[in-house]
Amino acid sequence: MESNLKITTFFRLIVVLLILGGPAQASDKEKQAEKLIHDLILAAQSHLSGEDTTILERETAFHNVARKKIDFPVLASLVTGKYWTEMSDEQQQEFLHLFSDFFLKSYAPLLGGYPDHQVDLIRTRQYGIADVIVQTILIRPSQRPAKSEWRVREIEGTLRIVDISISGSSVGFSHRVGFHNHLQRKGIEGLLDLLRLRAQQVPTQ
Amino acid sequence: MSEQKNRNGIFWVVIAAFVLFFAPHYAIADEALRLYNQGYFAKAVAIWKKDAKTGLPKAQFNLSRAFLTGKGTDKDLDQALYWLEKAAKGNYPPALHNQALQYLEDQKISSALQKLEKAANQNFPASLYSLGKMHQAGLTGSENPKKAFALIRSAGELGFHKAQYNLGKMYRDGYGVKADMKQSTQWFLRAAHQGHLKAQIKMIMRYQKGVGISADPAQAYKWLLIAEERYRGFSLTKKKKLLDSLSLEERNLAAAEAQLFRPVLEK
Repeated sequence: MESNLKITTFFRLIVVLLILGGPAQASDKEKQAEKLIHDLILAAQSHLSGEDTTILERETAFHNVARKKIDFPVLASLVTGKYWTEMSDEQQQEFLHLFSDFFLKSYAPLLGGYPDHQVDLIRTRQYGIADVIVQTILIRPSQRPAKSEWRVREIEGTLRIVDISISGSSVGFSHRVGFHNHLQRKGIEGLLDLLRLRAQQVPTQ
Repeated sequence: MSEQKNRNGIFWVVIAAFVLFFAPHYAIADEALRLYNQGYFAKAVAIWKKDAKTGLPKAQFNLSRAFLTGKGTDKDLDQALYWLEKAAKGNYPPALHNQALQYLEDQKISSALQKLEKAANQNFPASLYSLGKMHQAGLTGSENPKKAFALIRSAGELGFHKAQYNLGKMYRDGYGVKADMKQSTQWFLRAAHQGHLKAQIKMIMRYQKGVGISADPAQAYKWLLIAEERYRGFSLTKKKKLLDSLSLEERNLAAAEAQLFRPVLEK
């Protein structure tokens, strides 16, 4: 009877330690991930709100900041799958260059920064062992609110964004499906051609 | 004599009516672009929507871009294509150009060529360049290096940085023109100043080895630091070799210049 009590107390102690010890570690990582996204929101505001340069130049300046916080090699290997290792160094570099430009043009606006856009952090949570998800909401005039989930991972001691989910769909996996069809039909150069063509689109005049 | 006077009078009345009718549209169109440049996309889109319905190709094109990118309105691919078609029918070069790229993506080469030629005939730099690349790739029937060079040169002179980078390669390889390393380096440099990454990478080697320009390791190091912001492919050995050839003062100066570098887009 007494030994049963001792065992129960021992397990209770372990549960208490887990509750106290476990989340404290996760919380640090969550805080850092939240700070990463928060800093990007602030960077968007400071780069995009000025009027001394064209909007294209301001967006490029912000994209150069955001580029360093997104792990494009991880994303590139996710969206191209087995083809990533089949690419030559030159093809990999060109893919990274074209894909990162396309990615930033498409998804960096979710971080707001424009004068009548507002971005709020909703919640942060641990996702699996390695990742943290930071949820944001973007409010803009004449448009539906856009909820995004920024998947953050520590790679070589640095936290970086490795994927974004919009309305529950992973951007990385969506592109993987699209690119995979193209890669199967046209090969690596065919995919690069597609991205080169899209990069030649003329912007708002 | 009085008939002549009457004719002059009618001429000026017509001009005045034309100006009075169209000037407000252009003023509004510029106001929309001003709002867009400030980041007030929804306000700009509201103006473009109104103007697009009156048949202004520029407004139709910009509305198409808004529907495509989701800036100022929710994304709507059907609406984007609808307004792009309208603007292209109005012979608006950016619309013709983007429509041509869409055709290229769908492998409709002759339709793409037709649109690009229409835009290039209006000296639209992006289309001059794309048309040049099509002549280079033989997509116009057969490869035509001279025609490719002439078109890309026109685009480069108009400030199109991709064309400038390609001119660097064409002068280097003697493609459609006599090889000329000085010209080659000058075109790479012009594109590099506009922020063209591959041109910046070329300038590292050009300054390091003194190809088409006097050797200047400090300038080579400066371009390496600038390019490194977006390119992770430099070997540490290459960087160290460059660093070792510089004094501390030269290193600091190059680093400061790289820090201050901002791409200057040619208008």
